[in-house]
Amino acid sequence: MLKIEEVSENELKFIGEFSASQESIASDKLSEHEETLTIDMGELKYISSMGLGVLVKTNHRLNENGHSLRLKNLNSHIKDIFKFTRLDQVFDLID
Amino acid sequence: MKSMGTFKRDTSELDNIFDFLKQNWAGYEVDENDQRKIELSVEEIFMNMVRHNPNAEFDIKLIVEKKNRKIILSLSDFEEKPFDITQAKGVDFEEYFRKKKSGGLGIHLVKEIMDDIKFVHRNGISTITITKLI
Repeated sequence: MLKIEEVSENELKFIGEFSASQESIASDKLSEHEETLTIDMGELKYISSMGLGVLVKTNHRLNENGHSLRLKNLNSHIKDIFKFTRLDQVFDLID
Repeated sequence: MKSMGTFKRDTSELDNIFDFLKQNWAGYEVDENDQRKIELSVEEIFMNMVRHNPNAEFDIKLIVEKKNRKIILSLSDFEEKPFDITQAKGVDFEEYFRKKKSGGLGIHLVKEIMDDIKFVHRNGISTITITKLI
C-alpha cells in the first residue's frame, strides 16, 4: 500500500510500497502538480517498474515546461533499482 | 520447505501475492533487501502474464521453495502463444531515453536482480522459474 503525504506545496512524501496496484493513486496525485516537485522517498520500501513508469511520465510532462521531478532520501534498495534501469541518470536524486 | 498459491489475473491480487510471500520469509531467513528483490521480480512476471493473457479463465499459480541457500519461485500460466521472457530483447537505453519511453523495464529488472531465470512451455502451460541465492 502506498501512502502519499503533502509536505509542502512542491514536496510530497511517499510511504510504503509502490506496486502496480497503486498506479492510479500516484498518477492522480502527481497530475495535480505543474511545477518542479520533490518527492521524499525516505519511507518508500518498494517500487516496481509500473511505479518507475509513473515517475518517468511525470518527469517528461514537467520537463516540457522547464520543470522536473526531484527524488530524495532513496534507500539502498530503491537506489539499486534506479541504477539497474539507468534512471539514476534521468532524475535529480538528492541524499 | 515449499508453499503454493493461486491468484486471479488482476492487478488487485498483488497485495495477496505479497502477503503470501511475506508469510514465507520468516521461515526462510531471507534478508529484507532480497525480499524486496524477489517480490519485485514476482510482480513483474505476474503483471506480464496478466497483460499478455488478460482474458484467460485460469488462475496463475505461484510456488515458492527454499533449497539450501536458494529461494526458487515458479509462476505458471496457461498460454496459447508462449512468451519466453528469457529470449526478450534487451533494453536499448539510448533509444529508450531518446524516445522518452516510460514502460517496458520490468523484464530487464528481473534479469538484473535475480540469479537465474528459466522458461518452460509444456501442454499449454508456461512456467517461469526464478532463483535468488541468499
